[in-house]
Amino acid sequence: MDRFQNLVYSVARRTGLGSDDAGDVFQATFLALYRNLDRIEQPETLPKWLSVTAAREALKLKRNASRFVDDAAVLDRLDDVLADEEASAEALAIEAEDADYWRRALVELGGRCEQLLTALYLDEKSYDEIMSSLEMPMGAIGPTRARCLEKLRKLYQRDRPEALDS
Amino acid sequence: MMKGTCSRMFAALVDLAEGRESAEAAAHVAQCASCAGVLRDLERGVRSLRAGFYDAPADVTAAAKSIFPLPVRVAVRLLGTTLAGAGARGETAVQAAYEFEGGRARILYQPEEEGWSVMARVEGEGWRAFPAELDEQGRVEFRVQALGEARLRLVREGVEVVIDPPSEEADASR
Repeated sequence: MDRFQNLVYSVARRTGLGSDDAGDVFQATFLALYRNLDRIEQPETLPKWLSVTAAREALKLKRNASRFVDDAAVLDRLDDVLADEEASAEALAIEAEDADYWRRALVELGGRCEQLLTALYLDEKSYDEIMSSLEMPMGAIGPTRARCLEKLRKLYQRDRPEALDS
Repeated sequence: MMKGTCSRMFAALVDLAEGRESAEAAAHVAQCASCAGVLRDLERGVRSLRAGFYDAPADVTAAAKSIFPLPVRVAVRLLGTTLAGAGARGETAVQAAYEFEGGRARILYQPEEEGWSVMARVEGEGWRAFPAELDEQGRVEFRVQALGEARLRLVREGVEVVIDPPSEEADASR
């Protein structure tokens, strides 16, 4: 569970759920895993299975929480709504699984590169803020960022060569 | 592998991936399939990073862990080890035999060009193996970067067997 907690929780949060609802999705996902352990024969399919299940649970929770479910017109086309939801869950799961590879590559990258890429993309800090917090000259941020991204891409490529276009 | 113009263009490709304009890079990408691929990779990487990662709160993880009954870990006895010849890096392969409640395992830890190959044969019914799956003959094979990571975990009906590589032999083989 420690290996996959970030993957599952991130799927829920990225659908726009708050921390309480994301916690419910997390619980529901691992409960589903426990009930279906015997059906998961290939360990390597587990990340995909978890992401799809978490996405389905998150979208179901959002649908149930929205008021328009009571609308008779929507109920008439519930099959379409559910089909759209399933397609969205699949797409979310693919993105989430891929993002998890990038996350692990970032952690493995470590050091100044991890700090810089985290500041730039996850924390969305400005160059001025990065100059101050990482004590890095303004002129070094751009070139360092490019070098770090290339290292990150190589780590990702090593673990997931089939997913890259280059 | 990027060469010449492509390697000089990389910083501009990063600009494009971040959504900034770079006419020179855009023109190059339009004519260079390799850089177009790199750009798509960078765009996916930047998009993934920007989407953010969220660690589940500790109480949420703890509650979910309580769903799973913890297997009882049974003791493992090392029956013996033998050195099995030198590998590609001059390090020595180690063969080890283990015994535990309900089964036995013979494992070959073999050095490769990069990392180690672990091949095991497990006797006894109903075991599931991690990090790789047992085949019908009870064999399992996986690769690790360092011998210390070559942990084989076997689980069956609430019982867990953890087999770590023989450390003394590992040290001696370096």
